[in-house]
Amino acid sequence: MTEKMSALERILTVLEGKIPDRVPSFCLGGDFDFIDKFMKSPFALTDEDMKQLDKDKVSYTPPFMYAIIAKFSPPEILPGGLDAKIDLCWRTTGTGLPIKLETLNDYVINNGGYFKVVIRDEGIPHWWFSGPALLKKENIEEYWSKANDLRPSQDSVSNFAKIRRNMLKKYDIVVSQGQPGPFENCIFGIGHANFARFARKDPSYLQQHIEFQWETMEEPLMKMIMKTKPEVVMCGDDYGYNIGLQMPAEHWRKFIKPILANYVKMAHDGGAKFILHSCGNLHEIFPDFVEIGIDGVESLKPKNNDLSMYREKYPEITLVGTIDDSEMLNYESPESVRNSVKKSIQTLGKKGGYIPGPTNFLLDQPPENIVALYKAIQEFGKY
Amino acid sequence: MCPLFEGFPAMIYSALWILRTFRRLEKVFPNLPLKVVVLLTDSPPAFMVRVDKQDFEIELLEDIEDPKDLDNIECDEYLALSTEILYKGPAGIRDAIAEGKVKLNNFEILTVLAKLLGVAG
Repeated sequence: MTEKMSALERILTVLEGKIPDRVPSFCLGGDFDFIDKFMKSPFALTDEDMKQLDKDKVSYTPPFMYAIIAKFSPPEILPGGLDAKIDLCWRTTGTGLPIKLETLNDYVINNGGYFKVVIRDEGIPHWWFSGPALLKKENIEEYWSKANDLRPSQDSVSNFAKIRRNMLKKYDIVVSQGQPGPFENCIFGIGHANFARFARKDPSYLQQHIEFQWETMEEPLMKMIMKTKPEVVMCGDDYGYNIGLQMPAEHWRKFIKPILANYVKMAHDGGAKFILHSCGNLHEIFPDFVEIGIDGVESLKPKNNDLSMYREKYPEITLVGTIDDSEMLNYESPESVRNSVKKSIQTLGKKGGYIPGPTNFLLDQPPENIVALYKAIQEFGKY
Repeated sequence: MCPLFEGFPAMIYSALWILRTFRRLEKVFPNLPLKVVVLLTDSPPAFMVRVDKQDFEIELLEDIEDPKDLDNIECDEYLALSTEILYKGPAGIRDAIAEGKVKLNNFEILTVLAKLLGVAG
């Protein structure tokens, strides 16, 4: 089926608050378990698909797994495509190699946290942050002394920009490029307990750490990203948990909001739209998102957020995600997923302002549910 | 649950897992089979990586903790370096080789490593 708009036109139209040709779709990415399940499913990439993906230099690496996202393309783009098109996906940009801290006698990643790679006993890899390393002031201050080692590299940003342009040109998929946000960079390094303690007892110290990360890593990286002229910038910064924020809203407003506002301003000044990925219940700070000009908020698990209220009260913000990844997509049938997507589009997407997709990285959901999700967006997303 | 591998062997395993899952081992490594040994000198033991057309295997070599032991292992290529040098990236590794801080028997192992770390992101 020939579509009236390109994915980029569709995404930008929605983020500008206008109604596109159909409801666009989004995928944050997927981890090793999902890749394992997908490649063992009837939807797996064939040798023919992979020949084309190799030719187009499409990456297979999780969690951004462009090759699998491309497999959802219509046949006119990829002959073996699943015809369940994904319009928007994500890529964060890392900021360099691990650094050694003598006060820990160990290596940490750029935000000051530990990152662990393990191969589980059934042979499937798993990568994730395993905890904060900067638990004492002496660790934090040694980390500050390593500013030169923490500065981002233009090479990796430029490389990701090439991939982004390639995905748009060859597969009509918009890759939103970004980096972690100020809260995650802070707490992955110093931990939640230190954040809470410093916020109350030593706010200027916390401020100093957050400003150090902004000046050393985040601002230079945003400048590098913006030099590559992305169409959409998306930053990941989880503020919520199931029933509220991970910190008092006043702390978020004092320490995090000003830096997040800088991200948004830099994106807008460079002509890009800005989407925030943030898990959990965000209702307390949604008005702040409007105030600082965020174009879209992603994740928005329906169990944790009153999405109809957001739609009604904050029409300026596009709702991205919203399809429950941890329960519905995991445990219900494809038919149930289809009905749920239909209902979500009817409720949240009547007047634009909606880009549905799984609320987080795909982990171990049945691939048939994910295919059903994107097919349902095509089926029910017409205006 | 007990992990099969952690740390650098797990990183290499992850890259090979991706290539195997997408049936890319032969494409990325045209000269298979391949048998290489890597020792992070500050994080022993060494580990052996065997790659064939459709599959791979990683084995921890519990007795190999010192670079001098690498000469006695039957393999195509070996490499011993510290984590600090590894994390300096390609330029840092080249400098360390020039300074004699890296033990290797075949420069091709650097290409193998670069390919795998490229896949692992």
